[in-house]
Amino acid sequence: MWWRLELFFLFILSAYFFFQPQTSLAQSLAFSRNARTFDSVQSTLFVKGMGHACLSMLRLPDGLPCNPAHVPFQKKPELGIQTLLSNGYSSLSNVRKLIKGEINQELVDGLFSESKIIQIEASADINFKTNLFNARYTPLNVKGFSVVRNEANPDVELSIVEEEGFLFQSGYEVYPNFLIGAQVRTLQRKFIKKRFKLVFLGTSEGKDYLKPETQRALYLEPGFTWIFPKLWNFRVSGMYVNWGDVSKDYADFPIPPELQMSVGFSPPVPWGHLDFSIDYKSLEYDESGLEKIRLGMAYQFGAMHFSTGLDQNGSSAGIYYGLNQINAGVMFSTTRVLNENEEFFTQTVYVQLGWGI
Amino acid sequence: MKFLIQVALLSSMTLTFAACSKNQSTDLNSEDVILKSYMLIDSQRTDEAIDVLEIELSKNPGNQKVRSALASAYAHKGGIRVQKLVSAVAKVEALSDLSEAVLGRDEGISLSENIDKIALSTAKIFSHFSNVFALYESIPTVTKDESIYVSHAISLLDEIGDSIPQEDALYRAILSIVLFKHLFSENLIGEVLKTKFEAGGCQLNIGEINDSIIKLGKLLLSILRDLKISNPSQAGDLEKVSDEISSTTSNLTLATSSLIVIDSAASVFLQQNFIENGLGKLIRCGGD
Repeated sequence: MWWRLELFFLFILSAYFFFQPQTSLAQSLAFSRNARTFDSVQSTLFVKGMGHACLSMLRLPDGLPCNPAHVPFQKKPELGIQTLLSNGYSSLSNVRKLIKGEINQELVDGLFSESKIIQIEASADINFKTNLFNARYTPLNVKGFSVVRNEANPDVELSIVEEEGFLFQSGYEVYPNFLIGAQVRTLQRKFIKKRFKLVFLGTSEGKDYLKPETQRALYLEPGFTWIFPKLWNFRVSGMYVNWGDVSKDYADFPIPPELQMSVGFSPPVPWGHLDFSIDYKSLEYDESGLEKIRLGMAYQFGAMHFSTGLDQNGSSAGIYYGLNQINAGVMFSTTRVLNENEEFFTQTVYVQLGWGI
Repeated sequence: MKFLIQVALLSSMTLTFAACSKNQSTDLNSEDVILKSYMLIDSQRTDEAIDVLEIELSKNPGNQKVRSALASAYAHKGGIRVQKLVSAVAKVEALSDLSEAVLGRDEGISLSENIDKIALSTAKIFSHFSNVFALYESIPTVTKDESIYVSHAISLLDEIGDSIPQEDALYRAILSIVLFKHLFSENLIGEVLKTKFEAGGCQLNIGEINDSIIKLGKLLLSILRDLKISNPSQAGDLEKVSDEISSTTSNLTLATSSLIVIDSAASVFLQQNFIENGLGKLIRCGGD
C-alpha cells in the first residue's frame, strides 16, 4: 500500500502544475525573451547541458549541487576553480562597458549595428565542497543577450546582467533517504533589461535609457529530497528559491520566489551511470506552465560526463571530462528566439575549463 | 514498476492539460502582429509585412504602434535600411550652427544683389544641412518610385498627430532627410542634367527650381519640427533656425519669381549665382 501514498503525493504535484497560471498568452511570438535568453540563474556547463533540469541530481561533476539537500553526497572535500565562456566573446568587452555605464556612440554602433543577435556569457567560480557544507564565490558572472529586429527602424531587446556573489549551502539526512538542506545566496548585480527602438537613443528621453541599474540581494533557499532506492533510485526533490530580500525592486527585472519541483531516476545500465531528471522550474520570471517543464539526462562513464536537456525554448547537449585535477568541457545549445510559423534558433557553444584538488 | 507506470500516466495527463490550455490562446494580438511584421521585413518579405499590418491597422486604427510599424514597412519598401541612426541623430546639436549661415533680404540693394545674397544663404543652409547629418551620406539615394513609399511612410506618421512619441518623430525626421536628399538631387541636379547644354550654359527651369526650393524648405522645417519634438531641450535653438530658414526660403522664392518675369537671361544668372555660391558643386551641366 506504500505506493498509494506516493501516488497521492504525485497527484497533488500534478494539480499544482496544472493550476499554475498560464501567464504568457502572447508568448508564442515573444520578441526574444525566454528562459534560455533572459535566464537569471547562474549555472555550470554540466547544468546547462541538462537544460537546467538538475534539482534531483545528487551530484554534479563541475560545481555545487542545485539542491542544498544533496550536500551529504559529497564524498571527499574538493577545492576547485571553474571558468566558463561562450561564443560571442568578441562582444564581451562592449557588453561590460555598457554595464559599467561607459556608453558612447561607437559602443552603441558596435553593439547594435553589426549583428542582429549578440549572445555572450562568461563566468568564474571558486568552489569548496565537503559532505557538511559547500561554498562558492563568483567574482564575475556576465550574461548578455540582444536581438535587433526590423532593419527599417531597428527595435532592440537587450538583457545584460553582471553579478558578483557568494553561496553557502548545507544539508542533512534527517531520515533514511530523506534529506533537507538550505543555502544562503548573496549577490550584487548590475543589469540592463530594456526593449527600445534604436532611434530612441537619439531623443532627449533616450539619453540615459541604457543606464545600468544596481541591486543587492540576499536569499535563503531551503530544499529537500526524498529517495526511493529500490525504484531505480527514484527521487522527488523540491526547493523554494528567491526567498529573501533585495535592496530595490525593479519592474524590468522581477525575480519572484518560486517553489520548484523535480523528479529523477537512475535506471541501471551495464556500463556507467545514467540519470534522468524532470524539473518544473523557472529560469526567468515570465514563463508559462509548460515552459517550466525541463527534461534532462546525464550519463557518466569513467571520467566522461555527457549531459543533454530539452525544454520548450530549445535543447542542449554537452560533454565534460573531469580528471583528478584538470577538467574541461564543451556544450552546444540551441535557443528559440522566435517561433510560431517561423522557427528561428540561435546556436551557442560554451567552453569550460577547471582545476581542482 | 507499477508505480513508475502511474507516474508516466500522470505526467502525460499533466502535459496534455497544459498543452491544451496553451492552445486556447493562439490568436495573435497587435504586439504579435508587429513582431511578425519585423520578422517578415528582416526576411525581405516586405509586401507580406505591409499586408498583415494594414489588416491589423484596419482593426485597430488608433493603435499608434501598429501605425509606426506600418510606416517602417513602407520605408523598407522605399529602400530604407537604417543601421546607424543613432550616430546621425546624435549630431543634431550642430544644427544650431545653421543660423550663422542665414542672411536676410535687404530692401536697400538691387534685385541681383539680393538674389546673390539670398542664394548664398540658401546654398549655405542646404550644404550645411547635408553636412550636419552623417546619416545623409550613409542613406542611399532613393529612386522616384521608392520616394513615393517613403512619402507614404511619413504621411502615416503624420496621422499620429501631436501625440507622436519622440522616437517616432525622430524617425519621421530621418525619413524626411531621405526625401530631402531625393528632392535635392532629382529636382535640382536632375533638372539641370536633363536640360540641353546650349551656348556654354544650362537652361534652367526657374519655375520648377522655385517649386523645389519651396518643397525643400518645407521639408527642412518639418525636420526641424520633429527634432524639436525629439529633443525639447534644443527647441529654442531649433525654433530660431526654423524661423530663419522660413524667411530665407520665402525671400529666395520671391526673388526667383521676380526673375522669371523680369529678365529672359535670369536663368543663366541664377545658374551662375548658384554655382558661385556653393550650390555649384551640386549642379552639373553637361555631365561635368
